[in-house]
Amino acid sequence: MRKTLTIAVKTLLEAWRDRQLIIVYLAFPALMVLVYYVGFGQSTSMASFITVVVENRDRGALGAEFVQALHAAMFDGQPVFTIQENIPPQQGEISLEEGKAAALLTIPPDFSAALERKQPTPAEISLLGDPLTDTYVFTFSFLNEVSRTFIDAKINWQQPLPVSLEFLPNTGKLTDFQFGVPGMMVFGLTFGLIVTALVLVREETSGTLQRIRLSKASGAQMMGGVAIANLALGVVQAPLAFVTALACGFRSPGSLPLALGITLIFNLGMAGVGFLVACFSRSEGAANGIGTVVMVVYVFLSGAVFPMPTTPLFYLGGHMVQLYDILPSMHAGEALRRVLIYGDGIPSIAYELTLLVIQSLLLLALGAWLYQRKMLKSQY
Amino acid sequence: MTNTVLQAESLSKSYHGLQAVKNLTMAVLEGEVFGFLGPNGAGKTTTINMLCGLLRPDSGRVLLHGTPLSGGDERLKALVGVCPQNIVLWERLTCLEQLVFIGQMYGLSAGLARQNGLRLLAELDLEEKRDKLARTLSGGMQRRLNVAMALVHDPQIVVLDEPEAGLDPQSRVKVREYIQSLARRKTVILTTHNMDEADRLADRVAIIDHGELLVLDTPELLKQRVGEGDVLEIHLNNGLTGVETAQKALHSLASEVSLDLTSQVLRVRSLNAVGRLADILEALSAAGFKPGQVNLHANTLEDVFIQLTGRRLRE
Amino acid sequence: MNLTKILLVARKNLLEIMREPVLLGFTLLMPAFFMVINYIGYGASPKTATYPIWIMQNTPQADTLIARLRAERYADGRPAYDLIFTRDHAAAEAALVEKRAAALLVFDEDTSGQVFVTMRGDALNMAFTRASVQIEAALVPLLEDAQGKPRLLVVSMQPLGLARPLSDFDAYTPGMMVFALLMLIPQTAMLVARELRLGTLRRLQLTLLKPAELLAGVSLAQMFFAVIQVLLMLVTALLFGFHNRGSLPLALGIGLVLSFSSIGMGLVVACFVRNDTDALNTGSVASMLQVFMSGAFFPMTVPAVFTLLGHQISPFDFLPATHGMLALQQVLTGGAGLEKVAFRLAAATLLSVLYFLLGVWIFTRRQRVYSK
Repeated sequence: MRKTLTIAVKTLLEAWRDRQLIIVYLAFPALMVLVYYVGFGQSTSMASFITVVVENRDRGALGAEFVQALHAAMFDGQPVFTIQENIPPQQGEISLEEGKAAALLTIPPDFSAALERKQPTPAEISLLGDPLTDTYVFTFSFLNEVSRTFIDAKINWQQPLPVSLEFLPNTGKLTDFQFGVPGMMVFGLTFGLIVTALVLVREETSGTLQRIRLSKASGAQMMGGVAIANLALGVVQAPLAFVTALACGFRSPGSLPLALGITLIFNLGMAGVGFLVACFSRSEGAANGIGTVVMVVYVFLSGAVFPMPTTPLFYLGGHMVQLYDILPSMHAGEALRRVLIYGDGIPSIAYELTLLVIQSLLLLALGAWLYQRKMLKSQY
Repeated sequence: MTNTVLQAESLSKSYHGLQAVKNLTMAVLEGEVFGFLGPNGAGKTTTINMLCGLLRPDSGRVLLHGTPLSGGDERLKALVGVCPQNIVLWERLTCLEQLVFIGQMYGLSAGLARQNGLRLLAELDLEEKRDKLARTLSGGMQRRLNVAMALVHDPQIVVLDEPEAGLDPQSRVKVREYIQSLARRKTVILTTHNMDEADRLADRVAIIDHGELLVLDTPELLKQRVGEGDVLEIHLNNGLTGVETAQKALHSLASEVSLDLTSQVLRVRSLNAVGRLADILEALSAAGFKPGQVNLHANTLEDVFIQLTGRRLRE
Repeated sequence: MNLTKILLVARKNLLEIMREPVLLGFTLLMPAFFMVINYIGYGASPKTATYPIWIMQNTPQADTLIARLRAERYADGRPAYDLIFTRDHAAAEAALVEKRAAALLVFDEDTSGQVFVTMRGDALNMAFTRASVQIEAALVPLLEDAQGKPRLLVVSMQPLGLARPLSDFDAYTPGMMVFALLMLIPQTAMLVARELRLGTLRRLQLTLLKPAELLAGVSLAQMFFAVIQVLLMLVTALLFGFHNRGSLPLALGIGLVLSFSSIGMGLVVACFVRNDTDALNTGSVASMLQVFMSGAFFPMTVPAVFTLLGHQISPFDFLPATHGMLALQQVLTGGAGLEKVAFRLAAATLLSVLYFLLGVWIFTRRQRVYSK
């Protein structure tokens, strides 16, 4: 144990004295959260990402009133739309095509006439945009709501629409930023496997690995030491990311210590993957290449960045077992999401947590074993 | 061999308050092998870098063929070849490829760079390895290739920093012979900690310490005038019981005289004892001694070096 | 600048990379591999999904509404919903939590005897959002008709003239390409930093080679690989069924501009590192951050600061990847031609050149032979 701890201390000392390395390693998950905040978290209003270009062709006065209603539309006390009026058509078209505007809303010339029942046919508001984008879908939904409310007021319609919307607990009030925090953390933590691999490969390319081979330290002691160092750094890394998220307004109904525990377990697993990558890398460039490939698999196929379609294979104790359940990032992401977003506790995430622990320990053991066999074994 | 090719005038350089080179003035003559010695941290590398135009001095100037150098002078780049102490090679290029490449970086045509590269590989016994990747070579071969890289553009001035470091005796002889072959054709500035190497190769030796030039002269003259001197062991056929008579006889010729009563060997220490041997023997004979066999332990450059720089370990 | 020297440096770099099989393999194949991952993850999920909707029907009056949902179809004939009937509320709730159900519809009768519909789901699940919008659009007119409400206004969807992706795979392909090309940042930085670590940079400084020539040579070697990378990525995407809408040569050109921008940024990173490890670490961070800032994964909703020639410019538009992403997306999935993406392409090119020049300038200053 003493040698293991000694190696851990050496690894930490070297990391501490390599300022670029340690800053990158510790700060990366926090940076991911920050970038995500810059992109999605600066406003809780839907208006921050639903921009609608409005063209009012109404011959009457109600068209302008309707535009005012759009301006005044609220959701959770915040404006729904950013309305752009009277902009050059070419600019509106460019905004649509570049995705800067969710839709182009055209109020027809007969809008007032239809609402005042001066014609038998209904007026048609067209919403030009890409129906496959999320922003257009939101725009369409809110527009229906706003137009319904507007017409009901104009014609004094009192009967409420017999439709109500209910959300699962804790899901109705979150912004994209809050929802994305767990995924960003998983993304950031997965990057650690590349750093671990680079550090180990550097031992080889600098020749210092030979010194370790010649010493009385066993492979298990060396790997254990590096893993402990990773864990120690993880104790700083994850809280830093959480603090950044909290500073950006993230609020979790769940247990932050539990979330921290999940990140530390995942961190160990990624250290193991780093060992595996180092086994197959003869240079820093190769370590980065292999590590990036592995990272892409872990991040994208786990649903951390993009929600993944479900791929059920079978059911185990009521839990859907999917193809990508072999990825610890899947369980880490799901467990973090359940804790941080839905406020679940250990009983609710027992399945994910169990799989995460097993997989992380397996990866760590496999990585350590293979590294010892391939890299630390004496040539004699 | 009397033209000055590189001249340093009152060069000084400091780093973070530490004076690395202090008011150094010296000249390197055309065609000579110039040995540059000094303990670790003495200022050798800093001086060399200033002479080669790689480092701007805080004060003083460097003259190339009498013309002062300005910053990044490209004339100097074409004229100087530097072989660093560390082996600096492109691991994934073959021996010939990197010679041709670096030659072309110096402005040589591909054909000329190749021609020079092949010639150097032959001269340094690396011909068979021309198409082998540098990383597959042994340490000795890599070091020879390291030397070749400094010469491919046929520079007038060659700076060799520890060219024999880490070499086995055979390789060391090879490199030494090669350096000797360079002499007269080129001006060689040789930095080394191997005193034997400097003694054998250098026409003149400069010893620097704490950034200051201590001495500059030929190895022979340095050994004659600096250090504790040569030691003569003179077997005497007299049966001596005391050394006082001998000391008296040699008081003006030797700095130290001692006697081994058992073996009847007189040990005489004197600067340039070889040059004074006849006088020493005559003085002993005049004093009634019967000198027999004489063994000489000459003053070495290492002795000179230690005398000047002391025995304290450096950084 | 001496073109011969630039070409020689490029050749040297190419030789070195080609003699490192693992690095060569990853350099050439990693971007194409990203396409494969994209396909594995999202190739089978059409953008217009058949949403699993669980239904608790507590009144026969809902028959008409349910029939309406059952009849709803996409243009390609696929049903919009997969209706699953249940009486077990707990099971339905679990299905919502585990995302086996996009939404739960509960049809009840209110006190006046009319149908009342409750739509329940996970607000964080995009499938619920999309399904609920579609369901509302289908059912609300019927419900309003049943109430006797006059139909005075219709809100209709009008798809953009530009064709759009059919699947998540199509939608994510441009972003994955940008991600892959941003990986050139750490690799370029590493190539320069390796020269520094090995000491060979010092050797080169002693020659007549100018720093700008060295960096141009490294960049040229990287561009050679970039051409292969972009081609392989496009070919792989097409092989896996990417529905390309636009000009492949134009997409290739945008890809090359993006590559050049990454190379330029790699040079900037190289100016501030001392060895390969630092270069790869710092370069990777620069890549990963830009992947998000450029909108490669999701469009970043950062407000525009000003408008230039009709185009909204936001703070992240100082990154060439932001413009490249937009252009690539418009061409590949939107079928846009050169005239529509000219602004973004020009912006990406200009910024790429600026970053390259910045890298050369900083490098020259920091690696000046006649150092202070």
